[in-house]
Amino acid sequence: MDVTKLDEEELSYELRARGIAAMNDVNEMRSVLRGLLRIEVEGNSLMNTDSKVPGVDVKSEVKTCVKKLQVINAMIDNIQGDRYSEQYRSADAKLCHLMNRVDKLPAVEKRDQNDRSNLLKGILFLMRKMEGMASNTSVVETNTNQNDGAAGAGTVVLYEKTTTTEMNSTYESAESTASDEEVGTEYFVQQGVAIKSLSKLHKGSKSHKNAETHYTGLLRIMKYRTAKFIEWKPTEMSIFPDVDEWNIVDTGYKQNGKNKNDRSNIDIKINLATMKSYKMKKHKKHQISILQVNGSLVTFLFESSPISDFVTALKTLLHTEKEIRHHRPTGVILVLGERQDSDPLCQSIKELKIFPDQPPTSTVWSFISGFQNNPVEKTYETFAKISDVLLTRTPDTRPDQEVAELLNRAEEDDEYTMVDHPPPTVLPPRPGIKSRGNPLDQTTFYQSMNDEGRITNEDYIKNIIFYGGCEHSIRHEVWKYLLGYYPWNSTREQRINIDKQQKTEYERMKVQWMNMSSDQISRFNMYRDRKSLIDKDVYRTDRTLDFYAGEGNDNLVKLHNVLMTYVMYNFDLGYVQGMSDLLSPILMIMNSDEVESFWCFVGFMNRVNTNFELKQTGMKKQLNDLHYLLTTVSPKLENHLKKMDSSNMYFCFRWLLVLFKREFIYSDIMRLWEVLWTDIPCANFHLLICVAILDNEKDTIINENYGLTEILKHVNNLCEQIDLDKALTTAYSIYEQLKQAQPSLQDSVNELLGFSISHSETILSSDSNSREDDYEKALSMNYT
Amino acid sequence: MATRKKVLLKVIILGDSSVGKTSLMNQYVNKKFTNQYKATIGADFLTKEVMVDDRIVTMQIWDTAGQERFQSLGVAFYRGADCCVLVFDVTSPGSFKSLDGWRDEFLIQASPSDPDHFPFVVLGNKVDLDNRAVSTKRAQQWCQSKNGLPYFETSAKEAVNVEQAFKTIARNALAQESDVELYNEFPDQIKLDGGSTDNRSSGSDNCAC
Repeated sequence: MDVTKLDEEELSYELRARGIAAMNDVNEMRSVLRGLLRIEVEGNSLMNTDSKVPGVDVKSEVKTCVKKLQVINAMIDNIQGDRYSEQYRSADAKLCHLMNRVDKLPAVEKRDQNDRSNLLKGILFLMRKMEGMASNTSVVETNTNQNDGAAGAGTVVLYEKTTTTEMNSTYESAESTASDEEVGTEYFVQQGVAIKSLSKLHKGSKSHKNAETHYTGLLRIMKYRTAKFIEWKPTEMSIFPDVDEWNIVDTGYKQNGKNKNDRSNIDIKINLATMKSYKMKKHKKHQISILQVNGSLVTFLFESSPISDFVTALKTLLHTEKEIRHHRPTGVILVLGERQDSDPLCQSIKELKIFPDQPPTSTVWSFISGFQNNPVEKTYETFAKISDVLLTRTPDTRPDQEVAELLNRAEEDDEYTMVDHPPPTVLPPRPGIKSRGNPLDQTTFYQSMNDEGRITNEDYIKNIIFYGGCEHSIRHEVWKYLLGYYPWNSTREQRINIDKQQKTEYERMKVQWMNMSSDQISRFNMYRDRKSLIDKDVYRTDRTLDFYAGEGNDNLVKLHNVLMTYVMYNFDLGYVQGMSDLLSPILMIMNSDEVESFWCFVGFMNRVNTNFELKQTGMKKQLNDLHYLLTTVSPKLENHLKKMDSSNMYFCFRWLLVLFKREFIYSDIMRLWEVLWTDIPCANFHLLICVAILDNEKDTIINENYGLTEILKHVNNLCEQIDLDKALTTAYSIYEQLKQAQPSLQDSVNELLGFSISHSETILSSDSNSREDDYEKALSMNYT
Repeated sequence: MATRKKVLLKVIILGDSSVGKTSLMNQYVNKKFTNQYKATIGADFLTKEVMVDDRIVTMQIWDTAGQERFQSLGVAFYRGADCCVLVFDVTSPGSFKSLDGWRDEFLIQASPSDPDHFPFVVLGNKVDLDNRAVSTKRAQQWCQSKNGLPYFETSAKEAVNVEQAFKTIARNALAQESDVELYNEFPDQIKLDGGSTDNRSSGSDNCAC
């Protein structure tokens, strides 16, 4: 238990429980408790299990505990790091404390007992939730097996020494008894599998260098009503001489049969719920070592049969993940937990609604069902022991690490991949995409207008822009259409009117802020804040460009004016950093015309304003959407990101907030934005560009094993290094690839990319000329 | 065998928009100043190797966006910070008033194990400007009220006090780093050094536990 994670009230309780009077200083309390815990780690519990903790009232204590349970549940839900993260350790420490506390609840009345058993259920559930916390279950199982042993069934079990002696004969689990008598379902069966070694690993385990005795037998994976087991029964004895690298293990298994040499009495049972990890040997693929949460290690040798079936069987039953240490896979496959099945017991426990959102794990509930059938005293005692185990186990995570390292030393990489989530959709190969086309030129653009000045074929023009952008000389006109200042089908005359109206409208709003007196401003905090931000940002927007360079540059004033007027136009959103980046190229293209720039900026903001919301929901959604797409397109990269705690995609934040403004040189950004404003092939094409760029960096990120910070640095360093044309063609190619795979894609992905039957129909019939004809025309023009 | 552990100190720079966070970082790491820094979007960091009390440490200095709404998403990067630098602009009283908020925000987001003793360092930047609006005394008083935080008046532009400030930042971060190790009760094998630093770690070993 990490004492730094406990608050004052919790510290005080822990100290009182050990007979130490209240202290005032938190640090002193921590220091004293730390000292006591160290002594307890050695095995001398100072906890007075018999007497009551001073100053504890049952009713309020139950309330406190329930509250703590909820708090810890929330903490666990928020854990983002691994078991060494602050959050994990906090939750761990607090759970330990709570266990201890519930354990000591004075249960006088029947209702108290119910309260306590409910609390214990909750705690157990949380422990399981926190990860390989199934050690409690293994304790129970151990104990039962011992009882079985006494009855003559002879079972080899692996356990912590201290617990067994204490637990012996105190508890009988309904679960394991059932699993022994019951005829379970066979998941896997293989004759002639040898067992190589079997040991308990903990601090101070002694090495063994002598040749070991090995047994060949029947290996099975069995499913019983409440739990699944790997079972092994010996059939004959054989001796293997090559034990050189196995000096790390201790052959300390127990034989419970009366005659210790009677090998037929040796059985192995490993509850899948107590499996911590497994590992294959690199050069001897026929060996698999299984490590349990209590530190015991079992190695099976598949001498005459392929091991792959067994591994596959394990993978179908367990959620697993490759262990990464120092950015390299260690070859150890970590067991994250059992896969869920709809067990009726799970259902009934679910109805208790302790944690309605979480499906209960069969192991935990099977344990609980056993525990409910037992006399209260025994229950109490059992949990007291378990809490002791937990208390002494928690502050010291070293055995786990040690074991992993020992395993690593003996063996190296293996080729088994993550089977953590369902296999991704297999996408068809990416279609080759023609290189980019020529930009829209002046002649084509003006020829597309009829006598009134209407653009008769919007889609055709947009397609050219999508494939090749615009010539710089006509951007000034074309952008007004793309950004919705002019409707595509507007006549020349209508546009003259629009210019007039919008000028008046702009001036009206501009006057509103320009006429504000300093006295007025002094009482207008929200306005002042917005103005102050704009003042600061205008001064540092693209100052390296000639257009904005130098002191007293008039364009800075215009940039300022447009942004200030936008504040009056959309006061609630106000000014948010990044907006000046979006306006900067527009003002330049509009030849410093404030009115046109303003309305084009409004058009741009209408597309992206959710990026700037106070709650950042728009950005979160986009990062999330991007993650979806990446999962589909590049599951390998996504896997890596997940392992590196980077699946929040935060490193793409800058890309998305200002639509790559900071990533490309000025001429490229104008080209890119034009393409995006066409909404071809879909409104989320920018997300596909992100995917394309990341896909291009995939090998570097994975091969260099970049972690959270390295990925961010790498992505930030791509600034002005990205080949825009390549990114655009790749993104479009990915789009086509996904389109082909559309029926098998997740709904969320289809929705993001606008793939739906009704939608594609609209596209085809949207105009007198179909969109596909436009493509052809645009292309033939560009490539001839 | 005990080997020297590579020490990485994670430093987070926080403060209102345009107080000079990016400039301070660049002045310290690259010895450069320009008026042309853009507003920071997202997060970025620079690293620098420095000697602190005979030890080589790598400082990883994190620069963040100043506008408050962008804070929530970058939290992942605050985790495991060893020191937090709070920057204000001596010509902007508003940025000074925000320090409380930044400090609280950091403590909530980064949730250091011992918030009362987590090392913060306060920098009053832009002392090269004439229109100063926050007096040294006022800043010092605030620092005093927060358990005596170290305070430096800096100019990223003219490289005034930047080196000294970051030296203190590194030293305090290193102290924090060692504390964390003690809390974690790491096994002996990764104890920092058999040499000069031994005094230090064994000394604190005795006191805390």
